[in-house]
Amino acid sequence: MNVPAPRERSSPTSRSHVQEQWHSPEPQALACAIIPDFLSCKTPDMEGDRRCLNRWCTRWMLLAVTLPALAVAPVAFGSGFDRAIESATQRVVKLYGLGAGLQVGYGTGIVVSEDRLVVTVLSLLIEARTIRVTDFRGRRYEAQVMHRDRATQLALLRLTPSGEPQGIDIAKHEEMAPALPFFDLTRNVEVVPGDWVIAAGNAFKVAQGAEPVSIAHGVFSARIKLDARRRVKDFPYRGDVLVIDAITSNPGGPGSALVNLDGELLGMVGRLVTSNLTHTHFNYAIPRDVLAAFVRDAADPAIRSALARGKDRPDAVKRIDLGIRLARVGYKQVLPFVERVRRDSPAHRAGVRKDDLILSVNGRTVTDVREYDVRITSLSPDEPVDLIVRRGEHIVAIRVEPEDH
Amino acid sequence: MILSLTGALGALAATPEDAPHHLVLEAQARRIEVIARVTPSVVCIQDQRHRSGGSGVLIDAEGYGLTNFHVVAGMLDTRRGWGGLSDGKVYELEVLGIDPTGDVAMFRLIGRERFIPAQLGDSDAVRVGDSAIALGDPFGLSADYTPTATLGIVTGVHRYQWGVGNNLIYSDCIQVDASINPGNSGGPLLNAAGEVIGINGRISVNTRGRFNVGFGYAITSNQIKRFLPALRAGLLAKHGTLQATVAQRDGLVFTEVAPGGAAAEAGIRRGDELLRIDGVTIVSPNHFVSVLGTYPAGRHVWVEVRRDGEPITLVVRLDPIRPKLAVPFVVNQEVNLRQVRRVLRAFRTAIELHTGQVDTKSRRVLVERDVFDNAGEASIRREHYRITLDADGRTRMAELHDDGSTGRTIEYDETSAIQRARTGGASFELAAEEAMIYGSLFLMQRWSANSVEDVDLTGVAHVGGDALVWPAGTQHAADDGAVRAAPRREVEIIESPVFHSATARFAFDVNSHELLRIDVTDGPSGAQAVIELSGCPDTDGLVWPCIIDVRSQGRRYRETARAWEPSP
Repeated sequence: MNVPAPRERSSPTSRSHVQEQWHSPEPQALACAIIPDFLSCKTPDMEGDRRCLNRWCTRWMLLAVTLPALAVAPVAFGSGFDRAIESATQRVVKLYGLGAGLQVGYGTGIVVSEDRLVVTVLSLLIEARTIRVTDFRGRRYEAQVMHRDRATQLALLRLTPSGEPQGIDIAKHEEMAPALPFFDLTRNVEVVPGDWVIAAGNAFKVAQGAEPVSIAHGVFSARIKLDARRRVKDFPYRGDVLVIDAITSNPGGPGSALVNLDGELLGMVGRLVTSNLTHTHFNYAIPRDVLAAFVRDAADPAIRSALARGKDRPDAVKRIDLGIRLARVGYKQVLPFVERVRRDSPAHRAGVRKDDLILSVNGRTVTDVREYDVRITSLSPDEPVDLIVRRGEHIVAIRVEPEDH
Repeated sequence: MILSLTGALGALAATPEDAPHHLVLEAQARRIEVIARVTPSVVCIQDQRHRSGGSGVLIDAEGYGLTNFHVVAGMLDTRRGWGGLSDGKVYELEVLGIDPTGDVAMFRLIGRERFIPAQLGDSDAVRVGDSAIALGDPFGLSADYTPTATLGIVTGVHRYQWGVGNNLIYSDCIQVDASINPGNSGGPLLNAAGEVIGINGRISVNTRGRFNVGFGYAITSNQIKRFLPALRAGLLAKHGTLQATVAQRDGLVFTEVAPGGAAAEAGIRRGDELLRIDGVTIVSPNHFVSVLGTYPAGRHVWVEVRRDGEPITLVVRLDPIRPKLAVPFVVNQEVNLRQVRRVLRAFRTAIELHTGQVDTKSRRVLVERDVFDNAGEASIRREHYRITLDADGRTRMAELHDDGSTGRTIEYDETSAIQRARTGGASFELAAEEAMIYGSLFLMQRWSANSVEDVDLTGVAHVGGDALVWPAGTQHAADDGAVRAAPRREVEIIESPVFHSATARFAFDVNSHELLRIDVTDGPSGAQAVIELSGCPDTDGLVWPCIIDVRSQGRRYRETARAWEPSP
């Protein structure tokens, strides 16, 4: 009976006090990115309350528009999802790779070409030495990362069939592997608020082997810009997102396919994004056209080589980078000690040293690493930064000049 | 703001031309009807101090209901709690049988003549994408015990969710994206027709906390059905295990087979490739534990393996998994006997249906007995008997010779169940093995003839459910070589002492309530006998039991009732 299999965190739904005994405590919420105000416009110190309110109203209006559509959309509710479910579950793959702490070592990818190219999100997962992949038939592959893009937070993988004994001609072996169904990204697909959507992916890695992945159903609400940068930890993607009311921001969920009732791809569930004010997760998908552009760019040698040299895309938003790495210990809030200063970085030139303790940024006290992150990412990359650090018994003021570009 | 509201209202009023609006309204009306129909069956469960703990659903008019084990785990010391119904009243609740491994428990509500039950559906018919409604009392929201309804779709079937040790394992469960929250535990998951396809009991949680994130799991109704007899009888139900592990290689391969365990006993070896269990093709280790996890201990399952390229089919009787409990579970005899009476009452009703107008209190039957050869295949001798059941409860069995004279007679009397064996005028000693067979049949006669209230049930106990797989010969291989699920009868078993030292296990069909088989064992002598009972095919089973097939110590005879009439 005791077959080694992935363990899942799940919990009984009783409110019985007795159950608390065996229900494992929840770890602290952690997300790889945070958005400031996506559901909370009531922060007192927020500038532009009115603008925020306006945005709120826009959202509510969009939701209101979706309601009547909701009432008339899927005629035979409960059976009208068949095509969507079949299409989506066959065109996503389960990914297994590197995990650490709350960064789970499993995820989802979408097959986008005949030659087994797979799009997924950037994550720790794909940094594994071997990324293991399982398709809907239970067939196993290994994946190589072909391309990473910080701006869109997307990654492109290529699958190679695996698990066969040695001595088999790989080319022949590849030939023998049955073709994978894939989403053709060349066409355009319209989606309007109120359309039913199905998300399919490896959330919570409920399914194993050939078992079909989990799905979630909901309604497409709006296409908006994701503005997740201001004041808090930065999330580089600034393009459009599809807002949906299905809960998709779950462990392993990023990379899930979002399809309409006809099974056509609308987008891909993006990385987990959490409001640090409300602790709510944002349920969204990267639109199909963004995915298509990413795959197209990845195929373009010029763009690819530019990206490979570590340069951001020309249209990417410039980010502040002083060249300081702080000491981080697990998930605890620790004092902002400098662990490393990158050679020839602005901080290096200004004289910041290893083991300096950063006391303030531009005159505002920072007491821990997270606060430092929040302060620093809210700054403009083109202006000097005033740091006060403690070095041994001395307090030192340092002005870090921005990098010349 | 006002503008946007007006816009929204305008949009609400507008209906696209091609929208089949009436279909949506009809679907909605059906949904409302279903929820209204099942609402009176949903129970808000509280412990003795009226702290709310979860939900439940009634499955018969006598007040028997299902919930999660983890909902009633805190009530096991007193086995008492409270159940609120949508009529706004709170009823006393008695905890009956528990299934900690499968996270199921049965309870009974007390205080009403008749309750309104929900129907158990066929969970194997559930498909991903089906709509599903969860009813229950999440967050203790309902002050008047009217359940909260949440709607979703089935987002996965045949899921496996690991438990805590041997407890709370969700095997072959239904995954649903309807909101399931703390307090929904034990409540029903309904299909579109309002049938209970599962009991909601578990959710996946992420970093945000213990509430719905779109991943709820329900224990399937089909799994629960297999455990119902034990649960009704107030027993500690145990799940079955093969005592073997499999791993994914090129196919699924048995990697460990515990010596002396069920799989080893049945002949499964390390390295065998697992193909199917009970006709279900197994696709992953998850699937393997998932399929097995739905079976009670003691059940026979067909396991098809491939060894050296050859498919082999083996019958395995599953070993029990021991659930972990803080305090040992002691069976409440009263609860157990209540289920014994329910079974016997149903049995008697079934007999009366079968025998038509015949007065069951007194009757006479002529039987032919075919005695078989040592191989148990060909009849070598035919004997004739007359069995008389008198209205006073006395049963006599007389051997009739061909010349019309009477040979041996064996007589039982109702109160002491002592046999008097005579041949001619002289008494003779009836062999212990024969006595226990006749004793078992005598008990059966008594149960079929008397109302349950008049029967002495000292030493009688319900020992739970089991599934009988009929002997070899009934299995059949299909064209593709797959062995289809063997003909199987879900039975519940009543155990009774028979005469001096023997114990008989009576297996009743759960659905038709017929007595299918009696297994008698004599402790000290080790004598064993298997008695199979069935109706006659040519009489459409109307006279029952018509055929009694007895196998004992390598011998076999079969009795066929030839004439069945009220005794003079």
